[in-house]
This record gives sequence, structure tokens and C-alpha cells, in this order.
Amino acid sequence: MLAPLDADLPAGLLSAVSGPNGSGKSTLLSVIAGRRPLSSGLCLVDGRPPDETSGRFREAVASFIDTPPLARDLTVREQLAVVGASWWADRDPWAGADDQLIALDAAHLSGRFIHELSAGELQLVMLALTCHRPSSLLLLDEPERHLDEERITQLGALLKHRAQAGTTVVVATHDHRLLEQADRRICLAAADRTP
Amino acid sequence: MNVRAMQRDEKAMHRLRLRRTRLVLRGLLRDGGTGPALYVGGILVVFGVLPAFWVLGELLAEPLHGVVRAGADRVALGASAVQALGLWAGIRCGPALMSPFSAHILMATGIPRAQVLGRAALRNMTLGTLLVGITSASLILSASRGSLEQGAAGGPTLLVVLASVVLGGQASLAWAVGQRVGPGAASGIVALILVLSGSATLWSPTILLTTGGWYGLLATGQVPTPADWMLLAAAGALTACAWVMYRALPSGLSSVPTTRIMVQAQRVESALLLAGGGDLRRAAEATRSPPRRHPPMRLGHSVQKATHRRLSAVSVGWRQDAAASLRHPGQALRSVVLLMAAGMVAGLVGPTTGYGGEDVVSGTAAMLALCLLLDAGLAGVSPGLRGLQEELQAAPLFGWSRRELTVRHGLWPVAVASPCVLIGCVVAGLWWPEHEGGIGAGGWSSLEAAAQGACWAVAAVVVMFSCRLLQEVTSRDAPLLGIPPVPTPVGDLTGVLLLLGSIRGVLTAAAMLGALAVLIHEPWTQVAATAVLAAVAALVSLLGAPLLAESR
Repeated sequence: MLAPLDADLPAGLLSAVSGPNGSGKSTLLSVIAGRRPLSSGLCLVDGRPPDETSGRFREAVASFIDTPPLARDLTVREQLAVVGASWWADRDPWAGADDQLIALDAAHLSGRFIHELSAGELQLVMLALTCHRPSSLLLLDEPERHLDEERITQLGALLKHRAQAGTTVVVATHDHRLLEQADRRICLAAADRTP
Repeated sequence: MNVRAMQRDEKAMHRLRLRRTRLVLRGLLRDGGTGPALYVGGILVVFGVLPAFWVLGELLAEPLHGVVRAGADRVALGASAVQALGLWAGIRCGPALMSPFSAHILMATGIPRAQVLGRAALRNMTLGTLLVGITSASLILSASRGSLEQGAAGGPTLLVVLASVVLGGQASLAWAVGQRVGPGAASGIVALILVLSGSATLWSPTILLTTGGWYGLLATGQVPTPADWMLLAAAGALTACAWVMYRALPSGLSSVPTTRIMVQAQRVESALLLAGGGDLRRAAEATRSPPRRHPPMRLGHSVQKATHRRLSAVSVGWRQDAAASLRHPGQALRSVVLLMAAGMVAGLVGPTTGYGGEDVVSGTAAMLALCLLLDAGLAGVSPGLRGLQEELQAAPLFGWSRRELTVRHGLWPVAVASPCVLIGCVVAGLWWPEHEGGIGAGGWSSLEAAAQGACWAVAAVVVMFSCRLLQEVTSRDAPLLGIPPVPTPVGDLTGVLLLLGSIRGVLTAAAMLGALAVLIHEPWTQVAATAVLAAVAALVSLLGAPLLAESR
């Protein structure tokens, strides 16, 4: 599912993984997130193998690979507050809940419930939720889904800003605008399609 | 939503903004945090702690012998009824009386939610306290009318009045609890209080399980000499109660009722929007039962507290599971009752008691009944694979360990169900001691036999849960409408096959438990019945699997 790959993803850079369908972009992100073992080879995150059972590792790695479930009876802002409350015991859970939405130009969604969002708006909310939790490594699988051109540009700027702040950002994408904004590009080869 | 309704809402919101401005100018709106806590603290001290210590002090100085000679159970039932009344008043007089739509509009005006609900809650709490206080005083006075003449003049009257005040205070505490829990949970608590109190008329030791029972014992002088430990226990219980209420009510005012109304408001709003768009089916769906899994805001509080204490994901998750199980108190209560009934059956037909004796039919029927009860009981406490799937998807967002989540989903139902089943086993032995092999007949007389019975009960839970899980894995997400019909000369048998398919986990579990009982206790007469059960289970699985596979 993933062709042999030798890559280094340095901290503080926005890295983009591209490649045709089935080349293993999502698999690569899952491996880095510690959710899928390697059949051979070695993957190190901060000098250690990905260990999903380690609390420190889970705190360091934020990923948006699968769609996170959302509570239908909470507004967008309250969803963010719940995530905040789960990570910062000594901080007001509402603090910073709007920051991610503002960065994605989605502040107008804060009072809405999930069923009131379009597909693109839902994608923005899930990106905001992922970016809201603390992380030193941010993994995003095709974050440009359902987004218009303007939002994709804003997303690229946000990810670039996160990378400059010290977070290692890895994005699997097909979008040329995100690829252009990336500091480092990794192009995966097409998978062997021999039946 | 049509234009006229929108204009009406706009006008209502405008009126509310004006109203809020006037309230702010008058200084009537206050934060919902410190004020209610102090209010509850004051009520606790004035109505609860001080009178209780006074009464206990009087008891120490001059025991209540002779005030009421008998009828402790009736006093207990009356006292518990007053507490239940307080609890019921709490849920009926609380912020939930505010209509969901008006609450939604109120909160849409930008007024803090705690303030929207706090004023109504304080007003209703005052009324509720007065109501339960007067009721309890009347009840206690009327119940002990005849006994006043027997005691010393002045002393008993003062004690009865004080006891009524204490009971009123306790009822007001129950009222405050009613503010925090939902109507379903309150119904469950009321039922539990009344059942425990009422059961004292059948089996006197249960009188110790309720505070009303202790009132009854104290009032009838059946506690011979109130020793220091009693005073300490009462003081400790009151202090714990005070602390819990002090902690619970502020959050109850600012969080939980708000959440409840938020859910209602959101559902009504969704229904209005959907109905306005012509989608009546989804409108009906929006007003249906609330989400079954974790109450989100409680989840947030729980996670926050757990993170603060540096607990593991398992501990956090168990609290979530407990909250989720109690979110539908009726369902939780039903599960507990069913599991205890299963435990009683397990105690009567387990290997310790001879697997139903020599009667093959009754033994097999009892084993099937045991598995059906376990299956139905586990349904209420087992979150199921869908819940696990949701939590696994949420794991990256909240930093949960996927392995711990999986382990917890397996352990939680067993951990909850096993004590219930064990209690049922013990109760069966106590109620039917003459049953062959029962506790009274020496079946559980030794430690080894008791351990064997306990292991049997836990094994039954584990086997049934495993079979439920297996059935869920093989048949989950099978759409009913996609199942092909099974036409026969006597009609469509799809329903029969569905029924068999839905209980094939029960049949498998019954066969496995039968085999286990045969292996442990060697009631060889049951071998044939166990083999028949296993064959039926296998047949149903063979028939059901292609049916469900075809439906996908």
C-alpha cells in the first residue's frame, strides 16, 4: 500500500505529500500517527517510533485523517470549547475557541449547529477543531475537500503560520495551491496495479 | 420558517433586549455562580445542619423512648415520600418549565445562559422549599399526633417540629437535586427511594438503606442508645450532603439545565426549520429522543476534571460511560432490574444448585430465560460497537488511547452487569432458602460454594456479552428494508427469520452456558438439551448469515 520511501520531515516546515490515488498518502499519515504498523522499515517521530499508547505521543500528534464525530446538540463554538476543556484544565475552555474560526474566516459559523452547515463549512469546522487542540505535529489528509479557492488559500496561510510557529505540518493533498505553499514536497509513486 | 414567524421572533427578541436593558439598569441580573451557592449553603445550614445537630443532641440527652412505640416503617415511608415529593417538585418547578422555544429566543439575545435560567431557578427553589417544608411539617405532625401525649410536655413537640424542619430541609435538598437531574433520572431515584422504604414493611433490614428509615428508627426509639459513632455518622453524612449540594447546584444552575434546554431548543428549532422546508419526516426525527451517547457538556466537565487530576483515559471513559448510562435513567433502571432478575435465575439454575434439577424442560427453559434476561439487561449498559467506532474516530481529537478505549468498551458492560447479577444471585438465595441448593439449604454455605456461584454468575455475563458482540459484528448495519422476503404458502417468514436472527446470540449463549454447567456440575441429564440448543443456534446462524449478507 505504500511504496518504499525515504523522507525527512523537519520541524517548523509545511510538508506536502502528493501522488495519484492509491499511492499511499493516507497510509503514510496513518503510519506517522501510529495507527498503522509498518510491514518493513522504520518511522521515527521526534526520534522515537510512533507509539499510540503513549500519552506524550498522543498529545504531540494531531491528525485529521478520519472524520471526527461531532455532537449534534452543540454549536460550533461549544464543540471547540469541549475540545479545549479536554486539554487545558487550568484554562477557560472558551478561551481561544473563536481564534481558529477567525483564522479560517469562519467566525460566522460559531453559533451554528452541525446540521446547519454545508459540506464545505463542516470541513472548516473539523479543521478548526483539529487545529484547536495542542500539537507539535499536525497531520491533515486532503484538507482542501469541499473548500472554495479563497478558503484553500486561507487554509494554506494558516498552515504556513502554524509551521512558522514551530509545528511540523504534513498535508496529503492534490491541490496545487497547497503544494505551492509547501516548504517541502514529497511525491509518492503510483502503486503497482498488477492484479 | 415562514416570514410571519420570523417577524414575530424578531419582535420578541427586540422586546427581550429592551427587557434586559431595564433589568440591568435595575441591577437585577447577577452572575449565576456565587449567589446560588451561598443561597444553598444558607438553606443547608439553617434547615439541615443546625436542626439535625439539635435533634441529635436532644437524643443524646433524653432518648425518644416512649414517643412513638411502633410503626418505624410507616414513618420511614412517610419521610421518604416527602423527600421524593421534594425531588419531584425540583424537576417540575425548575428551569425546565421554561418553554424550549422561549429559552432559545432568550439565549439568542446574548443574555448569558446562567442569568437566563438563574433567576427562574432561584424563585422556584424558594417556592419549592416552602412547599416541601410545609408539607413535611404537616405530615410529621399528623403522623405523630397520638404519640405527643405520651411524652413529656414540650420536649416531644419541639423534637417533632424540629424533625419536620430537618425533613423539610432534606426535601429541599432533594428538590435541588431535582434541579440537576433530568425527569427520567428523578423518576428512577423517586422509585428507588419509595421501593427501598416500602420494602421495609416486607424485610425490615432495608429500613437502614434510606434516611427516612433512620428517622423511623430514631422516632420509635429502636436505636437503643445513640452512641458517638451514630452522631459522627450523621454529622458526616450531613457534611457530605452539604458539600455535594454546594458543589452541585451552581453547576446545575449554570450548566446542566442549560444543556438540557439547549438540547430542547435546538431540537425545536431544527424541527421548525425542517417543517418550514416541508421535510416533516426529518422534523419529526429532530424532535425525537436526544442523542444516546455522551451528554456533551457533561463530557466536557468530566474530561476537564479528569485531566486536572491526571487520570487515564480509562478512568475518564468510565465516567463517560456512567454518565451515558444514567442519561436514560428509565433504561438504566430497567437494565439493573433485568440483570438482577437474571442473577436470581442464575442463582436458581446455576451449577451450584444443580442446573434446574432433573427436569430437562424446566432446566433448558430456565437457561434460555437466563440468557434472554441477560441479553435484555446488557442492552442498556453496553454501548455497542457503533459507540466504540465513534470514540475511536474522536480519539485523535481528544488524545484518547484507542487501545484503552477498546478495552474499556469490553470491560464496562461486564463490570456493571456482574455486580447486579451477583446481587440477584444472593437475593434469590435469601428469598428462596428452601430451594434445593439455595443458601438456606446449604448450597452456598461454604466459601468455596459461594465463590463457585459468583464465578458462575460472572461467567454467564461474560458469555452473553461475547455472544452479543459476536452477533453485532456479524449483523450490524443490516438494513431491515434490504432484507429479501421469504414467501411461503403460509405467508412471509421474513419476520420469523429476523426474530431468530436477532436472538441467535441468546441461543448461542444458552448453549455455551449449558455446556459450561454440564462440564462443571455434570448434570448429564442436560446434555441432550444443551445439544439441542447448540444445534438450533447453529441452524439459525447458518440460515441468518446468508440472509443478512444478501441484505447488504
